[in-house]
Amino acid sequence: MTSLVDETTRSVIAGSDVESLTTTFGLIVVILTLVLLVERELLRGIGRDAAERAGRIRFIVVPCLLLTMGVLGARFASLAG
Amino acid sequence: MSGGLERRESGRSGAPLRTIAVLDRRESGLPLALRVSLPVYAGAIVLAELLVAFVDPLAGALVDAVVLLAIANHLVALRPEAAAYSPDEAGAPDDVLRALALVAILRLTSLALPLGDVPEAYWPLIAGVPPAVATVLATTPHPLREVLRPAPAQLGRIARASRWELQLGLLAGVLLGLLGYAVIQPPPLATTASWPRLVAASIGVVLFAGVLEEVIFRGLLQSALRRALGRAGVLVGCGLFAAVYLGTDSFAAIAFFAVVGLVFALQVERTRSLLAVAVAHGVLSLGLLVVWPLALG
Repeated sequence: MTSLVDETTRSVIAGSDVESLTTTFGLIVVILTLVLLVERELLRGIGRDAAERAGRIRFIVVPCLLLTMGVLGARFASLAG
Repeated sequence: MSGGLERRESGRSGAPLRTIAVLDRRESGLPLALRVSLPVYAGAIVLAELLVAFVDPLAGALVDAVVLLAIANHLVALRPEAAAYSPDEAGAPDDVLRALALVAILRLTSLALPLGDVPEAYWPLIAGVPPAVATVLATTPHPLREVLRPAPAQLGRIARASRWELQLGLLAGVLLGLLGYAVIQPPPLATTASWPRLVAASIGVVLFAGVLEEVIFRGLLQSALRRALGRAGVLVGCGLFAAVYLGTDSFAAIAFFAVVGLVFALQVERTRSLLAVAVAHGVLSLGLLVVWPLALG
């Protein structure tokens, strides 16, 4: 029982299979990550100032990428299994 | 930033320097856009927690994702001076956005990682990694890193000043863990039947349920809100901390962590140090979720 893993998240994780988790919560993270990555690359293409500004959201992009890898990894493992 | 540390040291005329100094509490004006949007972001995060706990976790995750996207765009749109640090004080106006984003990342991580096939003992350790990475990245380019990294000449003095805080944190953590177990009585996160699981659960709850939460909520969020809103910021920080425990599904647990959060916030406010509360929260979590359920359950 922590803020990371509380009763609600525990029941969500334990009560759903990988397929339903990755196509609901996982999909939200994947879309968010894609939007952030596209935005970041567009900003980088505009110029030096915009590229510097894009660097400010690195702390959001990197954990979202980690989450996306987790979601896709679990999905592929589920498909392979 | 060693200059900043020296200024603080001399200004306090020999007061002990804390090991983990948090951001300066000096007041400074926020840009209008930040002043207007701050309650919106904070309210949206609380709404997300309410949705996760009482309505539909998916709706809560969606709100958190929208909040993250909005904060990301807000950070990008801020003028350079709002993201820049003054040489005279730690922290910048946009710190409050970074801190709020970390709270949203915390919840989104716990919901989005498909850990169903992984033993529950490993969940805190795995789910803690993305928020920990985010926290490190959110603080890396700024003077907080320098505040957290004192000059070698100051280490001896800091160690002496911090010893009592370490002892205080350990004692408070043990007592609060016992009190929390008496109030909440959670099942054990791992048993002695599997030592790797027990070790993983212990490391996960100490590092990510204890220390990481304190770094995010008291170290970053409280400091940023204090800087943005004055003393009311401390209460707002406590409210957000209590909100992330709404999903514990137990009024006793929510009340317990709300009170603990308030006590920790006041301790940080008084000492400007995270050491005691980080140790106390780590030991509390270890006792509440691993040790006391095994020993007394």
